[in-house]
Order: sequence, then structure tokens, then C-alpha cells
Amino acid sequence: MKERRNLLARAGIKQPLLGIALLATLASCKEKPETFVIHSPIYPTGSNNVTLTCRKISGDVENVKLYVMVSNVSSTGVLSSSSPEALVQEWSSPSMPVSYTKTGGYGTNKLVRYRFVVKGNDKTYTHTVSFATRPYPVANQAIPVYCVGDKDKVMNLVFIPDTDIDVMDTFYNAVQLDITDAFQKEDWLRRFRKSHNFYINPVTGHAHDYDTGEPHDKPSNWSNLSFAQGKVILHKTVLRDFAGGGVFSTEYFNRGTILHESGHGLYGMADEYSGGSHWQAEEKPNNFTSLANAQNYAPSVGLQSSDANKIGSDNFWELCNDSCMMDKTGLNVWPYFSPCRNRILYAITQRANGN
Amino acid sequence: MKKHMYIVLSVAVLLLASCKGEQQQQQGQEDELSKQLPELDRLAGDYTPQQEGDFKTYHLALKGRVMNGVWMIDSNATYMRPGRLPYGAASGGDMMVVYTDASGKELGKYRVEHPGKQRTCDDGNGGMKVATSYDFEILLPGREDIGSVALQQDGKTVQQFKVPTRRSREERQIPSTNVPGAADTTRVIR
Repeated sequence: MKERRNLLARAGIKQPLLGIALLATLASCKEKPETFVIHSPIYPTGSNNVTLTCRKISGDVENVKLYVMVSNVSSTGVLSSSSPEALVQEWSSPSMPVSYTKTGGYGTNKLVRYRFVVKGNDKTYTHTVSFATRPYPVANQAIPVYCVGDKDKVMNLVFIPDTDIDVMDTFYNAVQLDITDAFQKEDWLRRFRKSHNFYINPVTGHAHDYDTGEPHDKPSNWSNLSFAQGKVILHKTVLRDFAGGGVFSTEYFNRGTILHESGHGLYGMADEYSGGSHWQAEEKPNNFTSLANAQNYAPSVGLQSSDANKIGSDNFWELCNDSCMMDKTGLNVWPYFSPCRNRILYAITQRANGN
Repeated sequence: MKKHMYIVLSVAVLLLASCKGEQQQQQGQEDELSKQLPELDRLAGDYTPQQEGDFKTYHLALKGRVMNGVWMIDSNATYMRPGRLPYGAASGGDMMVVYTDASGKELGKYRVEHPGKQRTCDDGNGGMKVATSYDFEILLPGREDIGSVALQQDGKTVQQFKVPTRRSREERQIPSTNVPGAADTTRVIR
């Protein structure tokens, strides 16, 4: 290090200047803004204060506008008496994140739609999110708590409360954190601003321990959840969790498990740990049935054939590193590695295109 | 002087390249995604709650039960449910669902996990087993010309069913004990 400083000094280059030049080079790739948005509480009562927030991932944000529209929801889900969409706040040259709080809440039986319009570096885009207030009047239907698109065109995940959840606010807070600290924490997923709908099921299910051999008790409105790619029972009791029959379970505080299982259910990815569930997908795989397949695929995801490695003693190979989310479960969120990122983009694009 | 300048710049570039290789690859993916996001925004459409209960788009559910390894299908009806089939070209799993018309012509297929499989990966404590008795359902796209469905593993057909021609709508299901605070698994929350 000392020697390097001497070289710099002898060459007449000041380190700070070199640093600035290098940073400027890197920053030039990230001038277009990327952001994500959230509201809190995720499923507010009619009188709860509700805060709407826009956060920056990267780039320069020059202007943010927030519009809100509130509608009544009937027992059949029909919207009525929609007030016109109104601009509630504008931020010029904002210091991100920006937030707006609606004091006194939006009332009961409402569907609130908020729209952040973000502008920066000649780029303008919109985040549009709809959420219901408590109580939601449509009986036995999944309650929209963070919905961004046509459910036929985006990925849908339903959170089901276990019968062992005795304080519902614990469950609601867990759902909020699964969105903010899992989906919006992982650096790749949070960029998909219009690809994931999140719901809360109004009816409970019950998770069993893997070692009992019992399948999970599905909620009685199960057929109403059939549209969703992901269904998860959040529970309080510590169990050996498992996935089966189209539903998976996890303790309400496990963010990593939510993303790992979403990797299976939403994006069709296989496990990357030994003893897991493996297959080679026809397109954009993250598991390979042979070393040669993995090596041949490596350049298409910016990797080298030497990155291919066998998954333990299983007869499958992978290109991801050992800290990829498909190799991990539990409390913490890990980043999806390159092959998984490609697969996620592929899956979301296929869904959006109706395939 | 020039030589030193060259050395310094070379070292800087090498240092940058070594630690930035992965980040550059990541940056490339992020740039590519940024280009695709406007199109994804357009394709995603808008969310409306009316979608939950209507059959403008629908998919089918074939129900059955496996008893001690023997597969039985509910031949009374194929059930219609609102919304497009949640699975498709990008679904994953070790089993392939292949649906054909009455003449046996393949109409489509998608991957899914074996319906009887229980898979755990709880914090490094992995395990997998297939139950011998369980209820199952196979989801199919909302089309009228599906005559049969086959379940394949490793390219081999392990089960094949005729799809009942009678369609029955599965309207909104009302739990029998629809009471907040009830002690069973159908407790409704508000």
C-alpha cells in the first residue's frame, strides 16, 4: 500500500483525484434512477395514519409526484364513488427517500391506489400500488395489501395466517416486513416495480412439522387462492417447515425462507443445496443435469466454465455461488446470483406475456 | 514520469477489474433490466379487485386422491376457477403436466412439483419424501378442448387421466364455521 502511494506520488497523481475519476466512471452507468415504494401499515384500519414512501435504489431523482385515489369496495369487489385521482404532494430535487403521511386514515372498506411518478435524467416512470383498508368486505377472497398489476400478468403471493397466530398485528407486521425486508431488500427483485402482487388471506391455515408426515391444513377458501403462484402459511410455533401440495410454511420472522420458496413457486428455480429438489429447466436453468451443460451455459450469464460445480453428491451441477438465495433458507436474505437473476427475469417476462 | 504514470494506471485498472468483474456482470444485467422495465410496466396492466371473482379468464382444476399409491380422479367434473392458469412456460418442478386433446395431440405442458412430495430445507436440515395417501389437484388452462392429462417424470408417463367434460364453476367458497375467533382452522380474520 505504502509502495503504491509512493508510485502515485512519484507519478504526480493525487489519490483523491484518481478516486474521483474512478467513481465518476462507475457512477456514469447508474445515472438513470431506480426506485421502489411501500406504504405502512400494510393493511391499515380505516383510522390508522398511513405513510406512503418512495425509496431510491440508484441514480439521480429530479422530481417525484404522488397521486392518490380512494374508492369504496362493495361485497362483490366492485369499486364505486371513486374520488378523482389527486396530486397530494410534489418533491423537486428531493432528498430520498420521500414520504407522505395521511393522518386519520382512509376509512373502512376502501381500496386506496397511490401513484409515485418519478423523473430523472430524461426518464419518467410510475409506481402504482393498490391496497385495501380493514375490514375488506369481499368475503373469503384474498385481500389485496400491495397489488401492482393484473393478477393474470404478474406474480401473486398470498400470506395465510396460521391458527397459532394469536395477535393479528404480529401477522400483519410480518407481511409488511416480508415485502420490505425480503422482496424489497434483495437487490434484483426490488427493481421489478410492477411484477408482484401481495395478498393476505382472510381465512387461517395450519402448518405441521415435516417430521409428523401430516400435510399442511389448507384454508377452507383454498380454491379461491388457485390463481396465485405462491401460498405461504406464516406461523409462530417453531417447526421443521416444508413445502408440499402447493403451499409452504415458515415462522413469521423468516425473510430468507420467503425468498427461497418464492424462487421455486414464482420463478421455477431448483434447489442449489445437496439433497434438495433438482431439475434442469428448459429455459434459463439454475440446475444442470451434466457438467458440460453447466459449462456451456456459463458464458450466457457472464460466467466461466470453471464456475460450474457439482451440487454435493447429487447428480446435478450449478453455476451460482454458495451464498445464492436458492442455496439458503431461514432468517436472512441473500442475493440471487447471476443464473437465478436471469431466470427471474425470464419467468416474470413469460408471465407478463401470457405464456 | 510517463512510465510511472503507465504503471499506476495499469495497477488501478487491474485492481478495479479484479474486484469489479462480478459487479460489471451484475451491472450489465441491471442495465438490461432497466431497458425492459417499461415494457413490463405496460404488459402488467392494472390491478382491480373485480378480477378476483369473475370468470373472464379462468383455469381448470382436476381433483383426485392417492390412496396407498393408487391414483383416483374425481370424475364428476372439472372445476372452473377465476384467473389465468398460474403456471406456464416458466414454472418449475420435477414433474411435467402434459395436456392433450381428445385425439391425443399435445396442447401444452408445464412443470410442477410432484403433488405428494413434502420437501424441507429448514436451515440446512434438508429432507424429502412422498406421502402414500394424499389429496391432489392438477391445474389446467381454461380451454374446452382438453381431453386428457399425463403426469411425466424423467420423460416417462407415470399417470394419465381423462379429463371430465362437465365443467363446474367453483364459486366463492364460504367456510362452514365462518366466525371470527373460532377454534378451528377456518377462522376468519378481519
